[in-house]
Amino acid sequence: MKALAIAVGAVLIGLAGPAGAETPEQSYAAARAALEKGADNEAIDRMELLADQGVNNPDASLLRAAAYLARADGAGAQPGDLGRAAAALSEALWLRPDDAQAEHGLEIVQAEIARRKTKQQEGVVVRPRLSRAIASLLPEQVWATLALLASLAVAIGIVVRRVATKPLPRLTGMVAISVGSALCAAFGAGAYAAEQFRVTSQPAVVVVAEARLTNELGRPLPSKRGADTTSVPEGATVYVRERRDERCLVEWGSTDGWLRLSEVRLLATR
Amino acid sequence: MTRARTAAVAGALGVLLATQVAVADIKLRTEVTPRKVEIGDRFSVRLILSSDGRENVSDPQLKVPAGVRIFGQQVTQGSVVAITWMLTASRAGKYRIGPASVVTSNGRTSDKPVTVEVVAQGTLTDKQPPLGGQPLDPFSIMRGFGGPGFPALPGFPGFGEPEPPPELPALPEDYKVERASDPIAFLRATAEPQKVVVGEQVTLSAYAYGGRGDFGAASFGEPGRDDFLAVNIGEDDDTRKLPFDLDGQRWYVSKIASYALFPLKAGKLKVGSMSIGFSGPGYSTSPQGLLRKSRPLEIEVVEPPLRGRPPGYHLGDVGHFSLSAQVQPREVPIDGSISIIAKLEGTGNLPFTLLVPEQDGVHFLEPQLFDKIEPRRGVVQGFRTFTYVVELTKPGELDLGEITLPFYDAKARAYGVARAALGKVRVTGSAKTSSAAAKAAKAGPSLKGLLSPPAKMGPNPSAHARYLPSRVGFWLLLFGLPLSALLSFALSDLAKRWRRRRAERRGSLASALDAALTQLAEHARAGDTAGSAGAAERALFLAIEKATGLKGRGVLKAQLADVLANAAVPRDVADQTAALLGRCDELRFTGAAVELASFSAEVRDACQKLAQRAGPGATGATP
Repeated sequence: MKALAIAVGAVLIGLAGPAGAETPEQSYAAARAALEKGADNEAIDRMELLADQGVNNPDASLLRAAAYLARADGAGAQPGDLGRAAAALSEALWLRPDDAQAEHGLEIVQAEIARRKTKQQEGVVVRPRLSRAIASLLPEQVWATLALLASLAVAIGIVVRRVATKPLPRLTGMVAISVGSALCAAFGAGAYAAEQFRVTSQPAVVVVAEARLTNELGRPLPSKRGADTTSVPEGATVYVRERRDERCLVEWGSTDGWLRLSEVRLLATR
Repeated sequence: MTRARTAAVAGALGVLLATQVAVADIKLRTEVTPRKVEIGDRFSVRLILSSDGRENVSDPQLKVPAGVRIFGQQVTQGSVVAITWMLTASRAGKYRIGPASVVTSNGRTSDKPVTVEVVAQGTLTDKQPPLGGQPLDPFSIMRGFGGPGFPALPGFPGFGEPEPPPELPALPEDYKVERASDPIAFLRATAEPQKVVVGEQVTLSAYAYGGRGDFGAASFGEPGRDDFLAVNIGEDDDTRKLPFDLDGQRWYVSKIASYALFPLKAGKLKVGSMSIGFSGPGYSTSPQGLLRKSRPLEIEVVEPPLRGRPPGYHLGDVGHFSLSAQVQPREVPIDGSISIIAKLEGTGNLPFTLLVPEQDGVHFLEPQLFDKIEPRRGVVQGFRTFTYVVELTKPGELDLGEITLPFYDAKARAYGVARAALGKVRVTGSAKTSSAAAKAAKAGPSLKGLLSPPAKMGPNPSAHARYLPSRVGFWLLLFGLPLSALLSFALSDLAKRWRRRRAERRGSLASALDAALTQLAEHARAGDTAGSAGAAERALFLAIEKATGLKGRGVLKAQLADVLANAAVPRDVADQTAALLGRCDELRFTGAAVELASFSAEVRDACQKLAQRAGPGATGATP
């Protein structure tokens, strides 16, 4: 009892005080300082608030990823930490496609998720939909620029074919028209597909250990023969095509299904 | 380390039990309501603890078998302590639930188990109203009413006896209505306020109005409120039936239920209708009573503003709170533990988590919770204690920082942060290397230092890249370039072809005109009057067409001069041409004696004049 009485000695009372507003730069600096002293949760809270406030910055995404990785590596690890780190890194790459650190980090995080997952069950390999895979071969702007160049080649070919009197320039014009038309159609289709995918879907990353795809009524999708493509693993990128209440319709490989919005993190894109 | 932790836990519990040193006389009673439910229905188990003195309890536990799930727990502490667990069963059968137990000043005390029977859905015919996730005592809603089915007993209040009409008391404002929505009885539900932030209290009240004298409640249906956390705050309500007059009719009104609803998400959330079965003389004698329903309500719920939101704020933490904390001991050996008891007090829906300070070498374990939350004057308030065991693995004097709770004060429309400073602790001894070795032995890469974010945040990328395919101009340019080249050449070709045809046509008219004039000359030389007239007429019409594009044969000869004049042919030439055509008719039909040579010369002259009108390109009528 004596020890207890001594122990109760130090009583400190905190009073409620007003919360001060910080600039994004101050929040970033405070989160970085918190991360350095080991306050992972504080760093995460600060960076999540920054994201909620609409600050789309690749450095902020990188710091958020670092905070989740620090927590995932420590005693306070929570399910989904690696998925959220992967989401933050994917977001950093969307915002700054040439960020080598984010790209390398994402590879390691995805490998770590796969390593932890394979302890429990077989890994899931899902190829993206063919149209999306083709459209994502080049950035949308590159598709568009190439299509314009091809269109220009066709126009020049028409002029040369018409104006030239000698056989060689006329042949050159004909070749330019033929090849240019084919390339214009191909690049134009690529630009259109990339634009449609960008406008009609939003990338997201699964942030739970495993997300089960369901149909519109909320019933689990039946497993197809071969690989189980109805469970989306943590850290996997899906494309959200529709949102309804607390759920979203996602494209996962060649499968479409519904997930809860809390199971994914929508990525900020430019 | 185990010893230190045990000491810490013992210390924490000791704080709670410090005032309870003597063995108290404690009585326990466990109730289950209802005793028979369908699968998926909610039921409650209530442990009631009474003692001869004020008893502090902690760590209530209820053992449940497989197939039964606890989804809510509430501790109400007053003269008696009541712990209510809300349960649901997923399989049919008879379940033995419990024993329920609690730690008191006498140690852990438990009662006898209770039994509940779970049957298949749709089996129960006289099903009681669902409890609907209500965490507080849901069984006092019928208070103040006569029992259903009981006959009216003269002299006993509450059983339908008509009261003598003395002076009517003033009706509270919230009971008043402008008109009766039903001539016999009706139920009115109100929600205040109707626009709130997520987590802010909405007070839902229900008033029963009877126009046939005093009434009882034969049945009661709770409102559907899936999107809210509900707390019954009707304990302190005035349950008397108050008489008042409306439109010449005597009415009785009673507040039958009050709930504090805490919205769980943003949006337009629905509160379902409540129902009550009015019983008593003048209403209904059926077991269900005269059923009346209130109108469903809609509450507009928004999120608190993002501006000024403190880091770590959890949606739903709304109210006004303060924090205090006790730390003990202040000096521990390395790898030892201390106990921190944080007490959160205030009004609103008290959160279940606090933000604890983190740093290397300090590890907070999951806290044990104890609370006493109850409504006072319609507002949910109370306290909740969080007992943490904190492991310390780094030697030296550590400043623990502060425990915080960011919240949104809906009344002040501002965020606040409740804080409790923890002060410093001294950790004695030296760091051991075993943890480092354990880290080294851990499988997988080290993720903590994987990324090196820059010291300062760089500029944001441009708000929205202007993607080319999203612009209409891109597609116009893409298809327009080759198409415009093609089109320009095609138009050019068309223009050329048109010009060529026009020239060809003009050339053919000229040759026809020449031929007609030649024939005219031949007929004139031969003295052939009719032939000369025909050739002259043909030559003149061809000359007109060549000069003006008009088909002269389609125009009345009487109007021809005017038509030609309108087609920019000089008036004298037009008149001459019309006159010559008239003379052609005379020659053909009357055979008048005409000097054919001079007539031929006049026709040729007229054709020449018309040809001049047609421009330099229109040649042909040459002498």
